[in-house]
Amino acid sequence: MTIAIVEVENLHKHFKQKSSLVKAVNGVSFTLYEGETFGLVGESGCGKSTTGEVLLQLTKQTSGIVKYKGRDVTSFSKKELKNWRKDVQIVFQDPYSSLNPKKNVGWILNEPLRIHQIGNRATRFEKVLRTLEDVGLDASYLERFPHELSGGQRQRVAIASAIILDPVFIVIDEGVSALDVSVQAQILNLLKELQRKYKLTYLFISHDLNVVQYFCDRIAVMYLGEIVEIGKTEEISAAPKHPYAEALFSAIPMHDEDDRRIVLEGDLPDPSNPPSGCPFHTRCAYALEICRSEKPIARSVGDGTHKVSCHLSVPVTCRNLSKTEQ
Amino acid sequence: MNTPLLAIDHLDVSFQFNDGKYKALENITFSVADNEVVGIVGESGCGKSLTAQAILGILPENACIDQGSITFKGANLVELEERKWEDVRGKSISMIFQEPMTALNPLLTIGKQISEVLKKHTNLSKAEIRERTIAMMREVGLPRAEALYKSYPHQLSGGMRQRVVIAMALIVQPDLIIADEPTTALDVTIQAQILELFKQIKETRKASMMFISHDWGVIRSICDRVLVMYAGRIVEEGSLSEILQNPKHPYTKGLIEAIPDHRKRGKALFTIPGKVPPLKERKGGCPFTDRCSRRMNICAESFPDSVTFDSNKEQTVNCHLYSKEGVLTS
Repeated sequence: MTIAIVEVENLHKHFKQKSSLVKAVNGVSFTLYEGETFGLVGESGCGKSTTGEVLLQLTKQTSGIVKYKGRDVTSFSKKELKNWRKDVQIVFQDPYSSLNPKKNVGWILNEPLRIHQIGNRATRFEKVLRTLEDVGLDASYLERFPHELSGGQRQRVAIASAIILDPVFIVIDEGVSALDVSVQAQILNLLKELQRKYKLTYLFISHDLNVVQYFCDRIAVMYLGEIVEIGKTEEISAAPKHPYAEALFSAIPMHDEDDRRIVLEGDLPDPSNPPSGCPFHTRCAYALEICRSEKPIARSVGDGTHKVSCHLSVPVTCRNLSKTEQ
Repeated sequence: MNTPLLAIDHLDVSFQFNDGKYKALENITFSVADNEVVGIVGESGCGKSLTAQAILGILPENACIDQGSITFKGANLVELEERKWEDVRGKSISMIFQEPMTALNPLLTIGKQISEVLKKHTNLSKAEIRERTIAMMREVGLPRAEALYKSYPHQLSGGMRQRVVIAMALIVQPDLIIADEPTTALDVTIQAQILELFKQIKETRKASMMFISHDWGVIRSICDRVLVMYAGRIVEEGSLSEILQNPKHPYTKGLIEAIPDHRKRGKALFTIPGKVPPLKERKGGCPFTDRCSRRMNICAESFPDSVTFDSNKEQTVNCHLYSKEGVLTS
């Protein structure tokens, strides 16, 4: 039986700027189940990271609901909120800026235990050592400072500080993007191992589709604050249905066995002034008249877990034909 | 035989620190032919960027060339006088850096920055310079070139900034373009656009390029030939297809196997244990010995000579696993 850990319903996050309103997250809904890795992909500025931050209540949503194990997180009392913070953690892209440069590894890992008043001095030390071992480091690292560590070691420390409170759910925001491929592989293996060992649920935010396809069970593709396609990794990577997802997956350099790369024109539109209708119509090769005026509604394809928001109902492979017919 | 555009022969570069001198590049030998794109791969700290800096004569102050030669169009750059460098740098060889925001001056307009190179290296009139700059901007796919001419870097997106940097590198029609991680800081779809632009440049301009990247996907989409660097040494060299399909050196094999993709789902990824040894901790012998799963006694003693293969004379590897004849010994 799969248990829903985090449920997100019609989430909006808008930022006010001088004269405009940036709709960073514009109505996303999804559910994360226990033990799964859910990937959130898209270009910079599409709202992936903001979604992750709202999930952890690092920033409050403008509207919509975030539920943790069935309960609305905004209904938590102050005490409940503090307890909940033990269950949910985050690992950032660049551990150099997320680890305190003036404190050594032992202090950094001890801090969350101290804040939540867990155990006594001796048991806390014990826990720090065990967690260091969990991430493949040893006691010799206790006295070291972040600048004395390599990128991979720093990321291991960041992961250690995320798992030290025995969380349920971790947001990994571009957690391996800054690493060399050989180190990246080590960290990905470590995350998988920890997930199996502690039944962790991951929200994996990344722009690197090779990594996402390898690592995630399900994927949501975001564009301008909206999820345009969501489904099982195998289904989306084998046959993406949304033209944006199609272009995104064809653009993976390692993927182009047959060199069938779709190069999208232009950049991401300004999120404070998004296009009318379907947000993707300005860059879409298949855009129809209706795409300019009407926003598509998510519809199911296949077994119902795979959803796509696009007006086109023809499979991607036939679309070139339908385009010439118009 | 034709002389290659760029030939580097037995180049050694070392850093001078308070506690001594440390070799950062050792015995680097390779060449770049006309209209050829050569890729350099390896982890951070392997000397990829340092090699580029040596070619352009922009080594850090505490680094120097100990021996070897860099021959570019028949002239040895190592012995070049400082004032003559101006004819090479930015004119015959241009460089494209990773982070376009730091490569551009935030206080100057786009047009000014692109045309600056022309002002420096040609005697064209103001009107001609403007005309050529705008034509160049169009060629690299910058929209509304006239309007953009007066914009500042912060008004542009990352992809457009990188196009500006590419325009600056191309406008003098260089013979060699060195691109150091030119797409690493960009999103996937923008990366695809920029790679497409590089392919176009390769075809229309017939320029030679050196492409430095740790991303095999990028290397794969543009390079003809690949050099694999490890801890300041070239450990393998060959055509792109040969290196990808038939890597010989355990390091190259490891790097390729560590790339995650959908076919490896559910399986642990192959990893190379340890990390690149820091400059001051490098010992004799093959620098990869400590991380190599197939190390032998001899590996710690001497750096292996390069071995070529009867089946493919283009591919060379520096590894004791292969004897002179290219047969696996162990």
